[in-house]
Amino acid sequence: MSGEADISGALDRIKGRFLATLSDQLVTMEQAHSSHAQLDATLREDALQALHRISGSAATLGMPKIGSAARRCEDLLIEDFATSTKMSPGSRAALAEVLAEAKSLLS
Amino acid sequence: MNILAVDDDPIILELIDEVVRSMKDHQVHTVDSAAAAVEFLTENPDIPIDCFLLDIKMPGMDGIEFCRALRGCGAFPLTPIVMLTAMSDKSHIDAAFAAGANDYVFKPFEVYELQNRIKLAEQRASIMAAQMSDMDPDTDKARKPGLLEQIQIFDVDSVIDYFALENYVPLLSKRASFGAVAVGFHIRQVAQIHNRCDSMQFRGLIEDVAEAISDTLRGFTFLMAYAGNGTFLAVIEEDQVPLLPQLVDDVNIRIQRMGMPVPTPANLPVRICAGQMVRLLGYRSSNFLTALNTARESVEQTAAELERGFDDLWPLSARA
Repeated sequence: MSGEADISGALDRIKGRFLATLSDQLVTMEQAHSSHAQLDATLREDALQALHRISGSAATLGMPKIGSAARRCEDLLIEDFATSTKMSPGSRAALAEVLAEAKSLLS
Repeated sequence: MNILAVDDDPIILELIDEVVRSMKDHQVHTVDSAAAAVEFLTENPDIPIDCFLLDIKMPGMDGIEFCRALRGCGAFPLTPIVMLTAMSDKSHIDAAFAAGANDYVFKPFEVYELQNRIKLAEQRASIMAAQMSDMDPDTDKARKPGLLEQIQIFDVDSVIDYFALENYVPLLSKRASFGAVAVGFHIRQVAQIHNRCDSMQFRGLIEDVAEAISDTLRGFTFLMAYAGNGTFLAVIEEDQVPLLPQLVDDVNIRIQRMGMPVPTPANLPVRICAGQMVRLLGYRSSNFLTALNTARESVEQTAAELERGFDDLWPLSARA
């Protein structure tokens, strides 16, 4: 029982750090979302990395909604960036969903 | 166990640290890249790593390349390597197991799931440690493996250990759209051959037959493991299934050409047979082992029937 208590306390602490990182990632994702022209390589890579990290740990920390939204958006962006430097309308909508979730968590 | 976790996401490393710490009896060391892991291993030769947890998507060398490098360097041939990754597509799963991974956990993970996989890795590490002590080439006293033992096979393309194959199959069966078949190959009269062989001969026979099957299957997408009792189990992509009779002939011709120096009953050449192909599609993850067991039972039954037929045609008293 004490092991379970320890891990839940630790998960709360890590969730706090996740949210602190999320506010930095939010800036990157907003930048990508507001860019209607081509995204430069650094912004593409940073946006993908942010989404990849959110999708990798959010659900473990008790935030499955933003995790699955980030996963869906990452998959769509990978498809987009395989052939283009622009975001498709579908990806933009998926990214907007992630941004809304992130803002809700941070508010 | 000493566990080395490699991931470029500091949140994941913190999670792993807490999960492992909650299990007691284990120490975890965390680094953020393959290069940092190499540095850690070089600078800490006094910390024997018993298990690796590797992310795949990392800057620089990715986790699959690093896994392959760990297996190739000679220091960690049997150390459990668990991939901990968000990459859930089949090509990454296949590549990771082919590179030497023993297990594969998807991110995001449940805490209890990671704990269970670490426990499995711990059990595996202790079995592997015992096997390694049996294989010390300096002693020249390598214990003869039992007939049913799952001998480790190194450096044969797409051949993985049986524990890894058992972990691989359920990952695939979770994907409803994926289709694959399991098929068994069996060394005929293996019990009699085992009785006549010393340790090195029997280990060499298993490795050579694995190589013959692997070479023959080149061109197909597959993973294969030795299940003990002279039986190999392969999982092959369904959309390019080979014709079994032709495949068996090709493997047997390859074995003949290799000229295996093992004593066989009546000096007959070493030969293999194959069982029925078993489709994995439709098996639930809760009974994923059934498909592998069915493939194993099928080939061992086929082998038994072949030997019965052989005995009927050519009674023992007539061979000498």
